[in-house]
Formats: sequence, structure tokens, C-alpha cells
Amino acid sequence: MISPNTLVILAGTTALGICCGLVGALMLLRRRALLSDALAHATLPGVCIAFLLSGSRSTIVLGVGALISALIGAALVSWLPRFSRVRRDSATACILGILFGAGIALSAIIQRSGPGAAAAGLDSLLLGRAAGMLRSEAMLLGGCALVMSLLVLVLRKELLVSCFDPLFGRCSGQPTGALDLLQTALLAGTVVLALPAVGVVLTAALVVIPPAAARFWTDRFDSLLRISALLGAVSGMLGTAISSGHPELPAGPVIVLSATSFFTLSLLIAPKRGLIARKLRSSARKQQREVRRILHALLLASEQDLHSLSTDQIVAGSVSASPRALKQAIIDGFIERQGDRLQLKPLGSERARRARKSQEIWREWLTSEAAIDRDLIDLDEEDIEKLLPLELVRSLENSIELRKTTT
Amino acid sequence: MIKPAVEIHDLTVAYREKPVLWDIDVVIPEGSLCAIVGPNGAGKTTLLSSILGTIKPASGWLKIFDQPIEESEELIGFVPQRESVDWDFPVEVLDVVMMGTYRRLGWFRRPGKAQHDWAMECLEAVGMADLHRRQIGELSGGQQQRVFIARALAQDARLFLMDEPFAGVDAATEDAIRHVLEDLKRQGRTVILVHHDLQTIEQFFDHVLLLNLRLIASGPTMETFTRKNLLRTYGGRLTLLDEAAEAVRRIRTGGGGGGGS
Amino acid sequence: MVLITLLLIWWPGCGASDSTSATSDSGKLQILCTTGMLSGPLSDIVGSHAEITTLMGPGVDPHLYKPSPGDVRQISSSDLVLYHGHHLEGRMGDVLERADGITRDGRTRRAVAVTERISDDRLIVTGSGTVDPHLWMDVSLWREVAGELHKILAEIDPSNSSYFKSRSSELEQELILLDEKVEALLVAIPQQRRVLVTAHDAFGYFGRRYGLEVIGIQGISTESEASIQRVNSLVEMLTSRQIPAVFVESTVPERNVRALIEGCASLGHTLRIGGVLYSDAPGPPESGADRWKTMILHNAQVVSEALR
Repeated sequence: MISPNTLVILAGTTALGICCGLVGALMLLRRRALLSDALAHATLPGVCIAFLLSGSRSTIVLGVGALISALIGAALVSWLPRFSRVRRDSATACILGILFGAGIALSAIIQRSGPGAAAAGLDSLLLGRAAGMLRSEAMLLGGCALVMSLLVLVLRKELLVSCFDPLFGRCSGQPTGALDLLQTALLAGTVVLALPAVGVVLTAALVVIPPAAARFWTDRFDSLLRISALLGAVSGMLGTAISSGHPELPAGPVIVLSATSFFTLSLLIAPKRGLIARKLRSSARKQQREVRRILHALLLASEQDLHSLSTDQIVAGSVSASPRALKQAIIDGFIERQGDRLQLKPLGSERARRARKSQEIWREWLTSEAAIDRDLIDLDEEDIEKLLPLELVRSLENSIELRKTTT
Repeated sequence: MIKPAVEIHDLTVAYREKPVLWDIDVVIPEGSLCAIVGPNGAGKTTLLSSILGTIKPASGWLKIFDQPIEESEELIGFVPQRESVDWDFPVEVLDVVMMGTYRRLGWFRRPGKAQHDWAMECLEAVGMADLHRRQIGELSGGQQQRVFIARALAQDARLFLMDEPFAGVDAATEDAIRHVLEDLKRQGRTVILVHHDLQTIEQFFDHVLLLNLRLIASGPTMETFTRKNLLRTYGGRLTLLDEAAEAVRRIRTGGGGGGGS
Repeated sequence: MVLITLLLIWWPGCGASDSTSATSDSGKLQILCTTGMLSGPLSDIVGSHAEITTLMGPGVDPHLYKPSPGDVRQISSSDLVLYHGHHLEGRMGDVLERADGITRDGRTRRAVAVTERISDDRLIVTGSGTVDPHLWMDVSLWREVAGELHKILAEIDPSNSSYFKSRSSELEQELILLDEKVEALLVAIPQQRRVLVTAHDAFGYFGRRYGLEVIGIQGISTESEASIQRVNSLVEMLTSRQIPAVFVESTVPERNVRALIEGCASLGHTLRIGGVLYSDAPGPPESGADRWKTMILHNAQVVSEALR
């Protein structure tokens, strides 16, 4: 039986996770991740001014103040590089510092001014107070998550172009300015909504980490958004669940820690882009190269009427193959061991010939082309068919044959 | 009468008070395959951007298919220089080409089978159809170039602008691009492209535009691509800069400039 | 540009010095108190024989208060600085400690942590080992603190000792009566409802002296954050024991308290806000609780009415 307050907080933080995940993915793709941190810090002067002007501690009033000041911050960030020599990332950092500093100064003035002063209320913006989430806040968050999901669904192609190639967007008649504004407004709105839950300092983390983690799992735009939203939501849920079981752990930081652990997990275990997968692939490739070298050495030997080589010659000599590669070659049925000598089997012989032919085609192609990509050099022969169109392979084969007959 | 695809009158474009294009007057006829030729910094890319409408002129006007550029809703297929694309972006070859179909789809409609098939056709035209599921970062330079050309094709436009499409590409890509250009010409579309290889101008292009801050000469390749004109384009740069500096000074002190509507 | 910068640096120096009083030319003792809870009883003892300045006005949270350069200047121009201690003025720690000693122009300045003079066995110590600094909530205990104030004054200004002594004993009598009054107000609350739930743990001494179970949603300092578990257990407890009201504090945001009300409502129990209590600072003049004595009385009245 979950207590009613925990339910409210769960709903709110899950919805927040979805919002942060979606808008964060867009920001990540547009390389504007720092902007979320800047906008989060930019909310502080707005909240202070709203309080000073209205004297009210109502979250709506303060929220509007936060939103306005975040939007001003965003406007300054895009305005500054356009009218001066300051680059965008420097502008973002400057605006962050200036606005946040102004906010701190204002909050110091407020705390001194006395009657009904909720200096404590403003202070809590820094770290968030998720435990006191109200039903109205959770509903607002839910509404925003819904709106954002709808927008992303409906405007999918416009957002894709806007993130990937805004110049193309402009040329094909998209209102790039309006789309930019929309995305910035969504970011500002998300940041403002995140303040009561996780606070200024951690909002940026929640916007940046889920999409960064999601990037490891997919190479497609739609999946990136979906996975990012999912990771954000699950971080919210997990963080709240853990925090509600431990009185010393406040919800905000635990949510961010959950997101971070998902990131670390993704970094390690993601199937194509994860570290472990990459390591396995590269050592598999290395092993295959060694197997090829073994076969090549044996083929050369057999063409010189030497039908077997000793194990030492293979392992130690110019071939320098590892014992593991040797074992692999035996398992694959390419070679067989006879005492301390190794012999090519028919399968192995065929494999070796094919490999040699592929190497020739590669060399032919590389010498006849100016542009050589570094990472194409050490590929298995299978890959040549993947990267070069069939007609090209045929024509290269022909030119090799031609050269062989004429020399 | 041959209809003009692009008409430019008295175009001057400045960047931070330095003139980049000066007093350009040219007509590019519809259905031509036109090369823009000139040394580095001559303003070739700027001219393309002006035609595209992304750069506003300091003076002068442009018309696209007889409509002033400010009012023109004409779709233009643009292939930029292969520079600052985010190659790590999670998008596949087919997705990029499909972007060319978005404008005709309009808001709120999702690309369907028709757009998918059309995009695949465009990929066929550049010889990249079997790589359509590849993430763009996994392509070679020439293949990336072809993907962007396919995207421009997918836009199904009347006018194509390309910025140095042949620069630094492999022979296969060069072939593919040449085929595309021939197809476009056969379909009666207009192609304007910035080209650096002077040897190949006469074989491909029926129109040429020699540019070095000012228009040196323009017209059918036979008559325009002469040794004399080439010397004027690539040589004698110093005098041109002097002229340009003098003209800027004139603008600053309030005299000169102006131009068309 | 350089001129503007210089002006900006110099200007605050001019402004601050005449924003508050406390210059030593009137010949009277210059005393600085951090809060109104100290300056209230102090002014009763001292009368017109000293000039008292209070650093933190009504509604200012002493746990979070950060001193400005103007404040530091005021401290240095005072002869006696009185503060609570036990980390109530959490962010002023070293400024206050350093105030005690010989000044640059040879004067002796005393800075005294008044509550630290009360013996440990009278203090409430929390589970984590920190001392609860909210001693002023217990009138009888604060009577002892008033006694300490008298002792300090007698040391500093022995010439007025007889004056201070008579004023001090008057104050004592007053406080004994106040204590009884508060007790009478609170005794009216029935046994099962003697639970005081507030925004933070400021009422420990209040609860101990007047027999109420006291629970704060946040911890001892307003800097700490309420935990979800705390909120949940409070909701459960309030519902099961049918406590009718919880209380909001003037210096702490009411959001947590409203979360409690919503939680109870979901479980079918109507919880309402019993009223505003002044915990860490007196209220504004119009609240009728702008001095320590009136503040305590106001709190007792509000609690009594709400829980009866």
C-alpha cells in the first residue's frame, strides 16, 4: 500500500522525467546541453523579483517569475553572439553567471527585508523539496508531459530538420525561428517545473543525463527520444521509491543518481556503442586477423611445397599469432595439429585463398583512389562487399586480372 | 524566348562593411547547367546564398522564375559544402533523403509509402540505394556527398544550387554526380553549381559565370570561357580590391550605392 | 569606466553607515542583539541605559541569515554583542566569535553566546547530537536566560547595577505570570489531541514544558529537507489519531504543510491549518506578536484554540 503523498510524488517525478528526457534529447542533438544549466540558474533572479514585487509566496506567481527570467536568459544567450564577438558557449556561461549572481544578491536582500520574508522558500529552490510535492504540481507536470509528447509526435519531422540541419530547414520553408523559440520555451518551461522537485543545481543533470544514456542504445532519432523519455521517467520513479524508504536520502539527488547509474550501465553494456561491446568486437577482429595470418603463412608455405609448419614457427615467428588464435583456427576447421606441426585443411586453404584475393582488391582500390579513410584499412574480407558496390568490386577484379596478364 | 530561371540585377552584398559581391548583373536561363567559377574568396558561395535567399543584399534585386525573391515560394534544391554536418547525429541515409520530401508534405502529415519509394528512387539515382539503412557517420566522404545530393533530388525542385559538389570526392561519386546532372538537364531543370576544376568546364556545362567580387563575364560556355576572361578572373586581383575599398568609402560618406527596388 | 568602478566600490561604504544607528558618541552602552527574542527581555532590563540594536527583524530566519558588510560594521561599533549560540545563527558563526575581544582602537568588546551559559542538563539534545537552540519557547527557561542577561549587564556596566537589579526582578515576576498563563491556555487541550505538528522542529522546549508531543516536518534547522518518509508517517499518524490541525510558521514556506493536508484528505481525514505560529522570529507590528512575550502568548492562543 503506497501512501498518498508518495503516489503524488511518484506521478510528478515520473512526468518530470518524461519532460526532461524529451526536451533534453532535443537539446543534446542541437548541442545546446549547457543551455539547460544556464536557464536553471537564470530562474533565480526572476523568482526573487516576483517575490519582491508581489510579496506572495504562491508557487504560481514565483513560477511565472522564474519562467520570464529563464526566457530572458535564453534570449540573451542567442542575442549575445549575434551582436558581439562572444561565442555561443562563452555567452551561455556568462549569462549563467551573471543572472545567477544577480539572483543570489537579490535573495540576500530579501532575507534581510523581514516581514513574512520566505527566505527559506527561495533557498529551497536551489536544492528542491520533492517531499512536499502537492497534487496540483503533479498534475501540472503530468499535463506538461502530455503536451510535450504530443508536440514531439506531431512535429516530428520539423523538429528533426531543426535539430539536424537548420539551414536546410530554412531553405525548405520551415519557420526555423519559431521552431527554435518553441524548443527554447519548452526547455524553459521544463526547467521551471523541475525546480520544486529537484532544484536549480540538479535540473541540468536531469535534462542532460537521460538523453546521453539513451544515445548508447540507438542510431535513430525517434528511438532516441523515446528511450530518453523512458530513462527519465524510470529515474524519477526509482529515485522517489528509494528516497521514500530512506529518511536520510532526499528525493532530488537520488533521482539524479538513478539517472547516472543508468548512464553508466548504458556506457558499459549497450550492444553496439557500449564499451564492453566495443572491446569484444575489437578483440574479435584482432583474433580474426591473427587467424588470417596463420592461414596465409601456411598457404605460402604449401605453395613452396612445404606442407606443414611447426607450432613454434607460427607462434613466435613473423606470424606472431596467439595460442588462442591457433585454437580458434583449429576449432573452425581451417587447420589441424599433427604432433607439433600444423597443416592446412581444404577449408582453410580455400579461406586463405579468398582472403588473399580480397587483400589484392583492397590494395587495388586504395591505390586507384585519392581518398583513403583510416578506419577502412584493417577490415575483414567480408566487409569489402559491404562497403563497395558490386560493380566496383567486379571492375577492380578485372583490372587486377588485366595487370596480372600484362606483367 | 528563353525564360530566365534566375535574374540578378545590380546585386551588392557586404559582410561587416566589406563588399563580398559587387554590382552583379546576370541572367541564368532555365534548363541550363551553369558553373560558377572564380578564385577563393570571390564570393561564389555568397552568390548561391543570395539566390537561396539566406543572405540579404545590401543593394540590388533578384528574381527567381520571374518572381521577386522576397515573394518567391519556389522550392530550391540546395547542396551545401560538406562542412559542419553533425555526422554523429542519429539519423540514417534514408531519413536524410526523406527530409527532401517534407516541404511538399506540409505540416502534420507523416511521410508514407509514396515518400519512402520516391526517396529510394533518388538514392538509386546516386547509386546509394543499398546503403539506405546506414547511419550517416559510417559513410565515406563521397557517399555523404551523394546522400545530400539525393536529398536535393527528393525535393523535386525546378532549380538546384550546389556548392562544390565535386570537391574531394572519389571516382565513383564523381560518376554518380555526373549522371545526376545529365538527368536533371534532360528533365529541363536548372542547375547552378560552384565548380573548381577548370579542365572539365567545357565538357559539362553549357553556361558559365566568371566571378571575382564582380561579374567578369557570363553566358554560354563557348563564348564566355575564353582565355582572356579567365585571366581577368584569376589575375589582377590587386586592382579589384582597390576598387572595392574605394567604393566602400563612397558608401560610408553617403554617396553612390542605391540600385534597384 | 575606471571612474564608475571606483564609485561603485566606494558608494556602499557611504550608504550603509547611516542606514542604522549605533555610533558611540551618545556615551551610552551600545548593545547589538541578533534577534528580537533576546532584545525583548534585554530592553526590559536595560531601560534607557543602553542603546539596543536588533540585527534580524521580524520574519527573518536566523538559521539562514548571512551577515552583510553593513552588519559586520554594526557589530564592530557595538560594545556588547549578544547572540543565542548553539548554532542558531548558523551562518554567522565566526563573525560572532571573532567579535569577542579587544578592538583595534583599544576598546573591549564582548560577544556572548547567551544560551551557551545555560547548563547542559536543561537543554534538549537531538538524536544526532546537536543541541536544539529554540530555548525561548519555554518561558521558564527563557526566564533563566533573562537572568543570564542581567549577570552579563552587571559585569559590563557595574555603575547601573542596582537599576538593572530592580528591573530584572520585575521582569522575573512578569515572566512567572506569563508562564502560568501559557500553561493555563494549553491545559485545556484534551489528552488525545496534544500533538503539535509544525513546519520545522522549533517547538521542542515548548512541548517539553507545556506537555505537548511536538513534531516538525523538517528537522532542527530550516536548512534541512523534509524526507518523503517523514511526510508519510506524519500523514498516517495525523489520520489515525484524528488530530484536527497543523500549524504554519512565519519563516518557513507552507508547501510541506499543505502536502500533509492533501495526504490526509486522500485518507479521508480533514486536516486544517490551525494558524500561523511565530517560531524563529517575532511577527510584524500588525500581527500583535512583534515582541518575544507577545509572540509566545500568540502561539499559545493559536495552538490552544485549534486543538481544543
